[in-house]
Amino acid sequence: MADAELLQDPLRFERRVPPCAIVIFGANGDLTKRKLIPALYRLAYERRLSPSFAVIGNSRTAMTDDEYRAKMRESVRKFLEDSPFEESLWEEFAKRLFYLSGDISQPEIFETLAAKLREVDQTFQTQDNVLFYMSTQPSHYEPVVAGLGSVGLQKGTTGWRRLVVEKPFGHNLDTAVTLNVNIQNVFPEHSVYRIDHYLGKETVQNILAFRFGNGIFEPVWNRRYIDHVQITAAESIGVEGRGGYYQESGALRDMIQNHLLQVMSTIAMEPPASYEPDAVRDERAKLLRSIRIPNAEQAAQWAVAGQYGPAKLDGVDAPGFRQEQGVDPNARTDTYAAVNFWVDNWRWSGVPFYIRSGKRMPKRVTDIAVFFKQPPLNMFGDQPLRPNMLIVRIQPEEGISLRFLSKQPGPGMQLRPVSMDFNYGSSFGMRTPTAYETLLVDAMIGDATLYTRQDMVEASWRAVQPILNHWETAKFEFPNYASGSWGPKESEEMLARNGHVWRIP
Amino acid sequence: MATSVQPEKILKELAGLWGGMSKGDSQGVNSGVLRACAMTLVVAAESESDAVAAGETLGELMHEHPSRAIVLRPSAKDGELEARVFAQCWMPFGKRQQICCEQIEITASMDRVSEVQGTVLGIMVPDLPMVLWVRGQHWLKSEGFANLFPLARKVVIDSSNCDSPSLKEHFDMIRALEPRVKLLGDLAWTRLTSFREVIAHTFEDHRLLGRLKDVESIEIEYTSHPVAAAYLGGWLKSASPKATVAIHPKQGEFDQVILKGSGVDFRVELGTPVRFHLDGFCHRALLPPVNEASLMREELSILRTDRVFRTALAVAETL
Repeated sequence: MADAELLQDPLRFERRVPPCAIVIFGANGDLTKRKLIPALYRLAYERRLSPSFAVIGNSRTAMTDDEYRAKMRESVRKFLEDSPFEESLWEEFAKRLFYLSGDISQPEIFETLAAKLREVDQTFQTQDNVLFYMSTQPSHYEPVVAGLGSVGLQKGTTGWRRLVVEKPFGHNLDTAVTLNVNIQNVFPEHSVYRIDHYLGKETVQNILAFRFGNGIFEPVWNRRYIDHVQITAAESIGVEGRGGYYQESGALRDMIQNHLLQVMSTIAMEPPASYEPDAVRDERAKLLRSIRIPNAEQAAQWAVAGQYGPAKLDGVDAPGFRQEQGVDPNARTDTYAAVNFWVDNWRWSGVPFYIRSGKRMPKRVTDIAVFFKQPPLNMFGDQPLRPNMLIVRIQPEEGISLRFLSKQPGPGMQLRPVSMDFNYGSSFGMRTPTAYETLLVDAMIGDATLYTRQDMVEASWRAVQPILNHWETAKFEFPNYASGSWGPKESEEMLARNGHVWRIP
Repeated sequence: MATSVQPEKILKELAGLWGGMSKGDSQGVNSGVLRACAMTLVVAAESESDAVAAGETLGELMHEHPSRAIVLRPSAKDGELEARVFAQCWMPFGKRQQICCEQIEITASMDRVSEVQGTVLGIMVPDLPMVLWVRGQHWLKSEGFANLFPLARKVVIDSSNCDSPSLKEHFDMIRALEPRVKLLGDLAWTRLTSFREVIAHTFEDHRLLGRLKDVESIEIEYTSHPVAAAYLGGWLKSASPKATVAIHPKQGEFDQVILKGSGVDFRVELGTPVRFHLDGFCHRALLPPVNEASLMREELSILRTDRVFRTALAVAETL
């Protein structure tokens, strides 16, 4: 490869992925149809995949290669974002798409897979590089990993082997630890890529550029100048047919334990020494380990669970969570969760980090609001001073805004808050890759910077486990918030105890 | 509306323009406009029609590289120097707010071009980079125009639009330009990116892996402009120093690159699609079409030293 690199032009050429085969377990599932295959097609559209590339999909449904290709063609047409569908390109792409039906609980399927991989390697010269992607139910992760190990597929003869694992990484701390142990019995940690698609979002990556590519923010990025931080991830929709799955997880497990704690670690971590995978991940992990673990009493005070009730939305009756299809009418699932985290380190001691996530909120928004401390003296009489606020908007309308006070034009000294906005869409009108495009390329290249690591997963479980334990036995008056509201009043009360209020995003 | 070229007056015109746009439409509906600017882009057009073509390209470029654009239009009328300001706007899909960029058009005759530098200096967006895009040779003949070079972070030329009598004279012109500019880009080189990318990728193929060092001869047959062929030769030779390079014109529709050596027999036809002939097999690659906007988009994204281009240029000069 070394001399081919002499022809590389990193400033102008797209990052190319090496020859490889991708094996997708759960190839007939929603994630594969909505995200993975459309992302791979888009990469092919941008000529970023190697010609020596192939996909082998596995699931239980009996299908031929052609039937699978036809199904995926429809998915790509339907779910491809901001890109044209080109029939001729699809035909080329589909030639590299194969399907292997079979039950992963049966050992023979792994023998068959090994044979198929050898065949694909011979046909497409994938150079023995294989990326295994777990797009299947979490309960299948361990059997699949064991099955791959049983036929030696975790180790290449000349190429690499990597395993991509989708969340949830366990259902609680204990199961997460067990899952990690069982995976590591087969795959070494450096070959395991735990995907958190939030980390693949351009705006989350931009937090690193914003914090560490500029000199002016870092000096004020600490307890001396920052009063508190609010992270919001709100969805306007309910569980939309995923009630069965969702009632087993809830907002704390589904969003906060993984995505939002990763976002928090990005906003609060120490500067890494370099943009190398482990340098960045070490700092994220350190931050997650610095989160104070609440005791039982604190867990009751520092977290609020909510569940939406029925409502009339746009003139249509919308069911409450307990009325959703497939949901237990007495479900205690949190469709809303808010947590007050504390970070016990020199930089953040005493600064509350509030994280909330909920369904059926007034709008879909994910953002981070950093509230700065007020000036020590108000020299403008009785005019209240509002804190400066920095908003990082992750979705939609991705961008960064700084709110500050300005003199209102005219006589006297009237102050008015104004906002200085950076809008991704207007400054960079180009299409941004989807999180899955970014993360798939990273996994194929072997760049784990945006993937989570075993210690990060376990640290984030540790931070929420006492809350989950408390909620196991707590009495909830569910439903406790109306659809289309910003959550239960207890959440407001939680902030009020610290003299804060939730901002309206 | 034509206006004076005094910077204050142009800036006042611009302020008036934004003020007017923010007042809303005739129905009193104001969805607002968003002003976007990431650089000053000065475009030196060759003629009136070229300025129109440049304006269309700027319209495409503003989506990804919003700028204050200054288009310099040559005038045949001696003593002419005037400016007009306007805005180009676009409405992102599904949004209610237009995104607008400013455009200033300066019409200048050759005898007054030295005054343009003062105007540009006064109306450049402070603290953001300025890029100068010279679309042909017209302005390069003027010493007054060269005063703009020190203001620019990058100067982009297009050798394909230059009619130098020989390659040597062309590279002499570039060599003379290089020390006067901070960064130099050439769209004749940019046009090669997708071809170079597929050639580079071919050397990752198992049949050519590790064979670059074995290349003994590089032959380039060109149908269009010799500078691009020289750049391509320079780039390939920089990776295969032992190889001899021959560049010659050819009849036909597309350029061709032939690499030969011990165990290497590789021919690429740079047409649509690109055809690779290797080991008796022909592979095809369909590359996305390029236009001026896509080329400039690439150049505007690189506001730092482009070592690969500099190396290719240095080798190309010696061929």
